[in-house]
Amino acid sequence: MQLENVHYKVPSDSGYLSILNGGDLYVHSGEKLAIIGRSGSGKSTLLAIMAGLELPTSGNINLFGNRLMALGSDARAKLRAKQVGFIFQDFQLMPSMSALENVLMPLELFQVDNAYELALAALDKVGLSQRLKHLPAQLSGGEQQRVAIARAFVTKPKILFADEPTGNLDETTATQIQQLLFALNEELNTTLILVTHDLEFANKCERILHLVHGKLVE
Amino acid sequence: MWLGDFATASKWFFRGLNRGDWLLLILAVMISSASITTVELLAKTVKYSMLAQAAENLGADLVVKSSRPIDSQWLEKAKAINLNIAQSQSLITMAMSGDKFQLVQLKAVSKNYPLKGDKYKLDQQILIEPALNPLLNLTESSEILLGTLAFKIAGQFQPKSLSIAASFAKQILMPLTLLEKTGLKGVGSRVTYNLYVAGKQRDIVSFAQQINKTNSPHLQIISAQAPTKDLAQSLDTAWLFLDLSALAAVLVAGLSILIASRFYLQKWQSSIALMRSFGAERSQIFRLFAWQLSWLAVVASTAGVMLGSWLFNLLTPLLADYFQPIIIPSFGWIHLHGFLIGCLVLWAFAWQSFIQAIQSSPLQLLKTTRSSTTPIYSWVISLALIILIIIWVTGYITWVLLGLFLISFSLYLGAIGLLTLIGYWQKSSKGWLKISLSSLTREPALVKLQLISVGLVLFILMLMTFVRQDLIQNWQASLPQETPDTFLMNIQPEQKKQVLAILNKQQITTELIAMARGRLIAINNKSLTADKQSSNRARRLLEREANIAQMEFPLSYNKIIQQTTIKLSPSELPKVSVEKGIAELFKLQLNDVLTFSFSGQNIKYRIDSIREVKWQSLRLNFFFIIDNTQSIPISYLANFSLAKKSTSISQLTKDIAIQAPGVLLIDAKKILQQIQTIMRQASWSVSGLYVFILVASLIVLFSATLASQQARVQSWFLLRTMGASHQEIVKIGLMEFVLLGGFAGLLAAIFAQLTSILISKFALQIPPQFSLELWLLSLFLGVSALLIIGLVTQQKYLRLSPHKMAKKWS
Repeated sequence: MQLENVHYKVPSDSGYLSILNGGDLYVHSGEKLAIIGRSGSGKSTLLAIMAGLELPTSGNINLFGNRLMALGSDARAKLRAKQVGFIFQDFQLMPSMSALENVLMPLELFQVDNAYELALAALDKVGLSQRLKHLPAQLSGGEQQRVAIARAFVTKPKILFADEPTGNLDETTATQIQQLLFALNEELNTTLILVTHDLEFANKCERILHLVHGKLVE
Repeated sequence: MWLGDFATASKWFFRGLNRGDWLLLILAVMISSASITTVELLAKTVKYSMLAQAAENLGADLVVKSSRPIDSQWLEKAKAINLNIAQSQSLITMAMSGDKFQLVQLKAVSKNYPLKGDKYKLDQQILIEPALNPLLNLTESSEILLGTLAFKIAGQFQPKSLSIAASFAKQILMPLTLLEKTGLKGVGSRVTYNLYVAGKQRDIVSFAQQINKTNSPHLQIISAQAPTKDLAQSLDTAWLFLDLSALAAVLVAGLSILIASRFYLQKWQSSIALMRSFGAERSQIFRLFAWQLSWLAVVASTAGVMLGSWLFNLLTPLLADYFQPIIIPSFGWIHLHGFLIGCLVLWAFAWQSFIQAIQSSPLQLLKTTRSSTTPIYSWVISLALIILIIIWVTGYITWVLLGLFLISFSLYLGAIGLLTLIGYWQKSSKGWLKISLSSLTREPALVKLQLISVGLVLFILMLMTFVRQDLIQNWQASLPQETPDTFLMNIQPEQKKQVLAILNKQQITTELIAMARGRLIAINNKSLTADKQSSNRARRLLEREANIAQMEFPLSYNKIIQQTTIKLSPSELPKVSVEKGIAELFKLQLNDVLTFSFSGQNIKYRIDSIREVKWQSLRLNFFFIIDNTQSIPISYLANFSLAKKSTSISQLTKDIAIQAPGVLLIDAKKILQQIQTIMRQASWSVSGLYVFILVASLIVLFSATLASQQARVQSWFLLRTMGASHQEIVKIGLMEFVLLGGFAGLLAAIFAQLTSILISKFALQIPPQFSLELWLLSLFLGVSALLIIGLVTQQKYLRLSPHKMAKKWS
């Protein structure tokens, strides 16, 4: 992934507000990168732009050789479908679906063969093979994030975006989730782009970038 | 790709169905298709059964009546479109048997008469009405002389007809082929020629249209669809009410879909945002959700049609008490219609939420985003679908749509007013009241939607309650218990005392009304001729002599709507009171001068008053009532009710026949019973439908509370953690429902009263009523319904401890 002079502005009451001010970045395949910054510094926006959920106001982004600025929303979605995975701070599990159904969702969406077996294996990997039929409300926070991790890895993405994946968890559970995340990352050789407040967590990555006044500082 | 998406959507839909995810939407769609199915099955069964009964009474689907021989071209035209035909000619004549004679209505019928009901076997003989037996002292071997021919009696028959005219004289049926030979048809004989036709509805309508196009004053059409004008009006009102009830049930169910889909919107938005982040294209998401909603439409509509048919089957035994034979429509179009309406209602009312959900951005998973607005085209699609539903259910649109639009818009303005009012109130209030008021202003869009929906539901309920009440009361009032069922006619002045004596002996008190036969020949000295009239009715009226009452004051049960105030000297013209319809037909005004011809004697009268007459009341009524200052040939007539008297009709018939020969006694009990039965049937179906609207309304109210449940419980949780007592939470929670229900009730009452006045006046043509009950009931219903539903749905959350509340919403 490559970012070149990326700018992002949003309209506000006092004119346009700059969130990103000409950021440049190159992320190697399989790299583990952490982005840290103060609340409201634009970390999540940067993540959305890197994943192609949002387009920058100006600048260039290349993802697996595709220039995102030149792609329409559906073409970017297609790219995400093949290469990208997400983990969110508040897990984003469908409350009326069981753990298994939540993991099945992306597989069924793209009509992947053996979806059921793949989902079962993914949940087994995160240690939840005994909680398949449980609804999110019947799982602890840590367990819910495990389901989310299983859902993110089940499609074998090349790059994984994780937005504060341990932000809602206690210290012990957070550590377990971090270990799980890194283990799966190693196993599948996935590039990891992590947004976090937790310096200790960030320190476990190969590179840390600090987002200050819209610029990425290494 | 399409197939794959269909498979995935099907899998997701049925999984969700299993979990109960779609329950609210399914219930609402089921209500729509079930109500349409039941209503249509009911309406069609009632209609078909009534038509079959009417056709049996009429002996055909349609009768063409004429005072002149019916042109053979009509017979040919009827045959050409495969209609079955029969003919009859009838005239009033004298029948003799031995030394007895009696005025009878002789009906000469063709071989295949009647086309509907049991056939008569006539051969060379005649059939007589049983009431003729005592009048002519008939035995099995008696012969009856009709003109120059003597006939043997083949048997007896009971005439069936909804027309009083048919009951004037006792009937005799004879073969048409022999009528000429009797010599009864001479120059000047008043013969009525009837052409009976039966066949497919479409062909009957086309045949009737062809006749109407000729605009001939001599051809009159009597249809089984509307045997009498008054009955047709009552039935039209009943069909209109049935249509409106079905539409109300569908629209109320639609509202619940609208609110429920807002409740589902949040869920859909999260899952669509998630799918977008996984890489699903918008078109794929559109397909996946459209398939799921289509599945929902199919499953719920099918279940609704099944429920509707089942309910109808439950009601069938009750219907069978009213209709013999009962004709039930076969499985087909009605069921398909119910099914399609269910699908259409879902799409029309869920479309907005669907489109809004499809546009969900995956960004909302990472940060708070502004929710997307619905594009204008999607509103156009929704509106078009709703219009389609209204047209499909009722067949007309303008005023229903205009009314709904005006009321929704007014409710919307009312909602804005309420929110502004609450804003001010909130500033000056304290404690739990302030918090409960703020909970209403927290989500203004949702409160507006709830207010419009609850207001519309209450409005429809109020309207249906009161219009239905007016309608049924009006029908009952039009035929009260003491409705006259017996008529005496042709009483000569010298028989007056004798007839009164007979009636007194039987303890029947009635007034004998003097009546003359006369023809209107001039208005304001300008002569009137039938052939110059543009209206068929006017032409017919001028061609025949009318029954004109002669009395000092118009009948007490007629309503005088215009009266002259000038006192005139005795040398002025005598006075006439004119019926409103006739006054309108001939554009008559007070003080106009009418010239009548009574057996060649021309007399001028000045219009002194214009009266409104309730023809369906079955009491004696006249187009013209003249004062009794002029000497003209008169006879008397009377009517009374025998319903509660111990006197039997046969005893009275015998007494009259012996002591006042020539006087006609008409027993209208059968006609009265038929009309009362039909009105009872119509009232019954109207009440039955009401249940559907009630059930649909309950779902709306439930959806309305569920839609804002999450925000409500979250705020309670916050208040509890901040130290609010359980009692305070209950007060805050319930106050929100009381305010919402109260204001919706008030708005609903205002509109229901206004609309009820308009509908009564213009659509149902019954006198409008102001109703205080409506206002009180609407307020009470609004507050209590929302309060009860609020208690039922929120009770479990109100009882939770802060800890449990937090866990529930984590």
